[in-house]
Amino acid sequence: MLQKKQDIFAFADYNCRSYITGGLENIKFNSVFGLPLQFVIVFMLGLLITVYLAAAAATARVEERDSSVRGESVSSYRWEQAAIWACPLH
Amino acid sequence: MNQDGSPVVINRDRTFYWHYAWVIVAIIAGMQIVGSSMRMAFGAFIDPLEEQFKWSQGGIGFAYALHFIVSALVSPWAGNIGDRLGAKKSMLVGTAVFFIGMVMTAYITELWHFWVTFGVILGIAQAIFSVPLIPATMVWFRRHLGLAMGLVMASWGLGPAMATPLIAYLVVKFGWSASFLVTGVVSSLLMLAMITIFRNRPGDISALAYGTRPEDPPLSDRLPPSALLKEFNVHMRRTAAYYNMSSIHFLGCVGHAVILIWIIPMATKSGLTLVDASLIVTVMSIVSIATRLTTPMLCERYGVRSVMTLFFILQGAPVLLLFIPEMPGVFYIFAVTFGIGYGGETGGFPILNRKYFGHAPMGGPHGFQMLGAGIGMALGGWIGGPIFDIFGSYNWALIASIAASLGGAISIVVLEDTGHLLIPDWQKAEQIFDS
Repeated sequence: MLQKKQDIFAFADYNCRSYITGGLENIKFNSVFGLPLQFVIVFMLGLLITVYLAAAAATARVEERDSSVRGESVSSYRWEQAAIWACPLH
Repeated sequence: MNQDGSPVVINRDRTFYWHYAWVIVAIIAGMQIVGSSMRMAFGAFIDPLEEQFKWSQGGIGFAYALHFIVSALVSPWAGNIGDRLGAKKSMLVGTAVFFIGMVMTAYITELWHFWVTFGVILGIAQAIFSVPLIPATMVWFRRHLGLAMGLVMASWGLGPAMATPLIAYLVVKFGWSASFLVTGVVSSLLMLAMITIFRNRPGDISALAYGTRPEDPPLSDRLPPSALLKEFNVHMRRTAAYYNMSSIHFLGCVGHAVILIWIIPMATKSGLTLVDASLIVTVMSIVSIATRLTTPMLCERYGVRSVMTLFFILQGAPVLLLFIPEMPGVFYIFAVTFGIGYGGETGGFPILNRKYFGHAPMGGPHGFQMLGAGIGMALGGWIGGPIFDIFGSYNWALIASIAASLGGAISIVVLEDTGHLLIPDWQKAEQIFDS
């Protein structure tokens, strides 16, 4: 885990110069839950974008139905409810 | 074979000479073109299905997304199957699943049938075809792997160009159901014919891998022992490169999927006709064939990380042109420049695998990389829709595409040095295991 400032510098240093000097025991990488930090960053960003956009798409669909059927309550699909529930911004 | 029964060593440093390895390359290219033809021509089925069953385009399109997602999720398993059973048996399993999926799709009557047959069953078949085939090619090449990979990857660009018009003609002439049935039967027969002459390893025909020199230690001519395979998969999963190559594949695929799916609506909204807009995709595909062919060779010659970084940048930078759609001819300038980067983006991965993991069986890492690629294709293909619904333009989708490609380039720069194997040498380990 990157907890201190020097850990971040160590990570950058690792990424600029290979740590690989021979056997398997020399392979090191800064990790989060045992996974490389680069991989975790990409995974988390991808997940966040998916959750946000899915919720935004669900909200847009519900609002569109609401505006087309004025005065009546419109039920939403389960995937729309789940997408809106999963995103803290919607 | 020599008179004493030992394999003939052809000591040639030339890039090209006759060898059965080229038959293998042709079979694998052919399998990929035939097996993925329906996926490539999916657009031709949307209107006929909508017309007959009154299904929504979103519901039909979901089958396509499901196909990619299932294919991605099954990829790591398909890679391991390829390592354990060998590519030949894997292809037989894939052909059986493909045949069942195609015939069942021809008789669908409900939307969920289509999701199951096209999305799930044909998605599984696609993974079994595509994932073990690249490692199967690698086994046949000791050197000059770049040329072989270039030819296989060029077929990925050639496939859509050949399959789409042919299948569109079948749909118009005979209808969608007969097209699935005819294409399923004919494709399965073609694949069975190719599998018959396919060989897993050079040792199966008493030959040595392409580019072998007399001083090279021998490569094994049998399937890898399962205990050793398991141990090496553990070694690979302990390297950062195993995970980072998958996330780089993901970023690269997000970068081009946004463009491949949404460039036509972008162009038509800027005033181009549908025919002119579809020409943009054609130009991109044609240009990409040249770079698909040459990138693996460039990677071998000039360094794999440098060349891959360059092509990721070339994939991301031209997207900036789409922010000035009013410039005359901008879409065609974009198609040519983007096609160069898009074609070259994938070509370095097999070379990178060879540099990091040597001659170890590649099904596992390649399958994991294809998992990243498939999810990237699905996400990149999807995000344009909600972004347009929210913002009323595709600009943020373009920004996401640029960010993904450039993010991939940065990730490649910070990958490990390719000068050393990251895991123990497979050949030595296999020799020790045998003794």
